Order: sequence, then structure tokens, then C-alpha cells
Amino acid sequence: MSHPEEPDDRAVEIALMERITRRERAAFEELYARYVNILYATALKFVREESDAQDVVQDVFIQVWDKAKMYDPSKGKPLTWVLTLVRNRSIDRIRAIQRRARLRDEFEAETVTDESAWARESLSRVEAGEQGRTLRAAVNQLSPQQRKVIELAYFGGLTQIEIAEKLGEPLGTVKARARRGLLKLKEMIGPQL
Amino acid sequence: MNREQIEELAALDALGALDGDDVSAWQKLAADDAAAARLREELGDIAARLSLLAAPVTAPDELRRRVMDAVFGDTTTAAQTESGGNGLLAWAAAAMVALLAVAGGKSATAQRESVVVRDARGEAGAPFVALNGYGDYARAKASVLWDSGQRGWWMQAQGLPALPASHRYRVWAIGEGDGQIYDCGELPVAAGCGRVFLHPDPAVTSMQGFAISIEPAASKPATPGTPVILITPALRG
Repeated sequence: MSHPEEPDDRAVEIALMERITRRERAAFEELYARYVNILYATALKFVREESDAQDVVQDVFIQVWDKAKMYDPSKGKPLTWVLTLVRNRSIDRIRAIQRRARLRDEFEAETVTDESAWARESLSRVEAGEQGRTLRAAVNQLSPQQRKVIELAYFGGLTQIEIAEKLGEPLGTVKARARRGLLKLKEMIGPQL
Repeated sequence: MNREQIEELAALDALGALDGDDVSAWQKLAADDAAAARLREELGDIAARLSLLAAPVTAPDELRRRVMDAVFGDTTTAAQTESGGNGLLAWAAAAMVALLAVAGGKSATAQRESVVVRDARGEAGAPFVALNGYGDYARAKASVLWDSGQRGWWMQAQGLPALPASHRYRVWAIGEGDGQIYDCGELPVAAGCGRVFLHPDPAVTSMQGFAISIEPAASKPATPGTPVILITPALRG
């Protein structure tokens, strides 16, 4: 099984977004086909429940149709924008149904070892796509502390102050770990993704 | 602000973890500094790609039907979209809506005894009560027309997302003056559209508004138990 579509054709997708702002259904359906698997997988990673993940993805596609004009190409790729919508919507969902505490506990349990469950889980998916493999290899190059900050921020939806409180670390340390971690990922995978 | 501080803010913004004074500081910087804006885009792409770590899955076909139904009102049956009630409850709760806020509401009654409805779509210029959806249901709309012959109202709605089999759309009428709420029963929906004849109380012929909510299929609540998703604009709290 290959990884869901990993669309990387920025020009094509920006053109699709422009057509969606003109209410072209065909463009919306093409964007749906390109993105749905990665969006669904992402939502599922956040919310864990299939029905919740479907709700999140449905909400995001409605948002794409209704608010495509809000996409600004100067701020990133269409996929980045849509994934951000999925992340935000997923976190809202998690908060709404008060599962955040459980999620934190799971993260805590996952990160007690040097190799986080985050990476282990991903590595077990040996049939994942090329970009996924590249990313996982890069993630494994991060320090456990950097991985944890990134996990708690991106997948846990915690702010820098919340992360500092949770880890009992100074805010400056959290900032530095986030910076070093993301810059390291950029250095390792930026040119390839 | 030195380069290291800029990179910290860019990284935390990409991860969605900025808060406090850093939010406004970073927004101003990214707006004024091309290099900071470029870094925001680069790290934003990297952070978004963390999603590729999610286990590979294929979205169910059912999801496509749901999305197309929600966006375009395509044909979808409840059975095709059944996904369990828990998800729906959270979904409904996320609508961020106000429950019926009838106190002090301006009368929106537009019923006329002279109007005999032959078609719930109404004729141009015919008096009707419009209902608007909001929040996640902003695409939904409904209209209500008085049928003097049958002493009741015709409601026609469109743009309603398909629901799991465990839930139903339910219609409510709000009495003129006292704001009493009348349960008008279920609104059957197919392909995003629904039409129903409402006769909440034979003695009552004047309503200040109507609302549609999502309720568990098995229940028959006296008042809306879940968020109202469409309501007469004048009654929205």
C-alpha cells in the first residue's frame, strides 16, 4: 500500500485554488481527489476516531469551497494551507470533546523512551511513500527533547507556554528546541520535499 | 530582534505554538520583513509535512459522498453516511450556535391568511419567513410559507448535510408574543433538501419564527436538546 497522494505540484494546485474561487466544481473535485487521503490520515492521527476524522475533513473541504479566496499563495503551498486547516479543526475537535488530557497522557507514555512512539509507529509503516520515509529518517535525527517539543506543539496543540509548563522547562529552552528541531528538519528534508 | 529570535518565532508559528505577546510581535515582523516572511513559509511547509508521518490510509468512499453532499447538495442517503452518533454529537456541538434566543425577539411573522400555498417554493414576492444557517451550517437555508387552506406552514429547506442514521433534523416553531416553543416534528431530508408541513397547534396561526436543530432519532424532546442550526434571523441570539 502506498502512502496517500503527496501532491507537490504547487503551480497546478494554485491554479486549482483559483478555479475554486470561481466556483468550478471540477476543480474542487480534483483537489478533493489529490488531498483527501493525506487530509484524512492527518485528521485521524489527531482525533483517533474515524467518525471524528471524517467530520474534520468534511468541515475542511467545506471551508476550502467557501473560503478559497483566503488562501494566499505568498504564504505557502495550497497543501500547507489545507493541512493547517485540518490541524486547527482537529485540535478544536479534540478540545471540544475534552479528550486533550488523554492525548497528553498518550504523548507522555509514548515519549518515555529515546525513540518516540511517534517515530516507531511511522517506521513500522514500511510501505509508506518516499516523502514519508525521508521525513521519518529526518525525525529520527532529532534529539528526543526536540521531538517532544514538536510533538506537543504540532500534534498536541499546546502553546509554547503550555509546553514549558508541562515539561517543567524554561520558556527559552522550549523556544530553542522548537527552533533547532524545525531548522534541522528543514536542513535535512527541505530540498527534497 | 536577532536572527536566532526570529527563527524561534518562525518555528513556533509554524508549529502553531505561539502565544502571548509573541503573536503580535511575529505578525508585525512577518509583515514588514521579507526574510522573516520567507522563513515563515519555509518552516510552515516543513511543519505541514509532519502530517506525512500519519499512517497511510485511504479515505472511505462514504466521505466523498458526505463532502459532495455538504458542498453541492448531491444525492446521499442517511444509510450511506451512517458513521455513528458520537461523532455527530461533537460535530453538532462544534457548530458554535446559540440556542433559541426568543426573549425580546422582533416579530418575523410574515404569514398572510390570503396566501394559499400551492408550491412550497412560493411565488416571487410571496410573503415567507426565511431561515438562515450559520456557523458550520451557513450553506443551509429554509423558507416557511403559510397555507391558509390547511391552517399550517410549509417548510422547505436545502443545503442540509446528510446525517448518520442515529440523528434527524427537527423543526421548531416559536409562538408570537409568549415565545412558546412548539415541536413540529422531524424534517425528512434527502439529497440535502427537505420539505414538511407544519401544524404545531391548530389554535395557533401566528409564529414569530422557526428553527431547525439536530436531535437523536429515538428521542422526542420538548425543547431543542442540541444546537439549533437554522433559525429566523430576527430570533438569533
